[in-house]
Amino acid sequence: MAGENLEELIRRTSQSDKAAFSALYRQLEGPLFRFIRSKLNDPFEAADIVHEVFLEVWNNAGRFEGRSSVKSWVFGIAYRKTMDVFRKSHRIDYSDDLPDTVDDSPGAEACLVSAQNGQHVQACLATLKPEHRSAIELAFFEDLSYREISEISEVPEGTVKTRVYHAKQLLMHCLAGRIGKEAL
Amino acid sequence: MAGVADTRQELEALLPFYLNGTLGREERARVDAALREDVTLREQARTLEELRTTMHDIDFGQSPGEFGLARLMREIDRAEAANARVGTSRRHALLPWGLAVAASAALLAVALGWVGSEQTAPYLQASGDAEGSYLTVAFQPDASQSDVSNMLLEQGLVIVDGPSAIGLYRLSPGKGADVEALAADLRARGELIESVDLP
Repeated sequence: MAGENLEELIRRTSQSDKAAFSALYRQLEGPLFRFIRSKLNDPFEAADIVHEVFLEVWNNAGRFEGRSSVKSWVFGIAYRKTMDVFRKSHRIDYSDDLPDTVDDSPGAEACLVSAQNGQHVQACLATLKPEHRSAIELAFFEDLSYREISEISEVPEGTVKTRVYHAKQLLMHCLAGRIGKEAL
Repeated sequence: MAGVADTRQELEALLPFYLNGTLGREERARVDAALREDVTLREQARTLEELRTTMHDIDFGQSPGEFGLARLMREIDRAEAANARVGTSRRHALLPWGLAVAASAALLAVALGWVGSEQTAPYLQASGDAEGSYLTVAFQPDASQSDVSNMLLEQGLVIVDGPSAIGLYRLSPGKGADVEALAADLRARGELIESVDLP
């Protein structure tokens, strides 16, 4: 059933078809785990949220009305649950002041985010506000459109674009601080 | 000038979605035209593409995979069985505590290295170890998942069955454990455990 149409799978899941539910799980579980795990930094907690998300999908598949894509709907559930955990358990203050451009010399920013700096990129992602991080991750991990991200995070499309833009700026600022200009 | 700045910022904001291929035809054409004209915007695009590639390569560890699916199915089956007994809809059967304790069991399973092991079935001990001594416990309704998980890990206990219809869980101690002493320890944890019974 790999690659089967998600709308069809959710329709059959709403009729308590466990094979369809399993196929849905297999298509979405990996991306959902990555999405949640990247924000919580705790694989056990992330696995628990994935579990809760799919239980909610199982219980509420009949309520899916097709106003958004299945993927947006499921990621929306994950987004809300992740944000709830974040609000309840994390007390970190994130900076959302938009920094100036780090270095506008040609190639400087591209060097900062290059593969050899992957660990720094990961560390800097963790410093972003969850809303910013979700926006850039949904755009770059899941290749979702700003409309889909807007549905998932329940904010206007313009806000999504702004969040991705800010996320990138804040990442560059963080990377410059971590790596230092001498590494450029 | 404000109009120019707005346009530039708007174009930069569209770039991530240009790169992930989700822009509509009109917006895509707009970005294409701007990229042809604007060196700085091309540089932005290059940076974002590099960032996108780097993010894709980040390893966030192994997802629950088939273990997670087995856990889900087990919980769904249990809820359906409970619903069948009480004659209510499955849609209302997954009580928070059931979720919390199942989560604890799965957390333990993950901690014990079951995740990702294709040779080790989830909840193996529930079906495979019939010789050990078990403790039957009821947790306090307001006990948190993390407190229960910590207690189970501290005591070397694994949830192997439950919840029963009346909320009882069966815990398996480690091999050679002093079950009487364990029971005494658990009874002393009144904030977490309501009752402890030995076989």
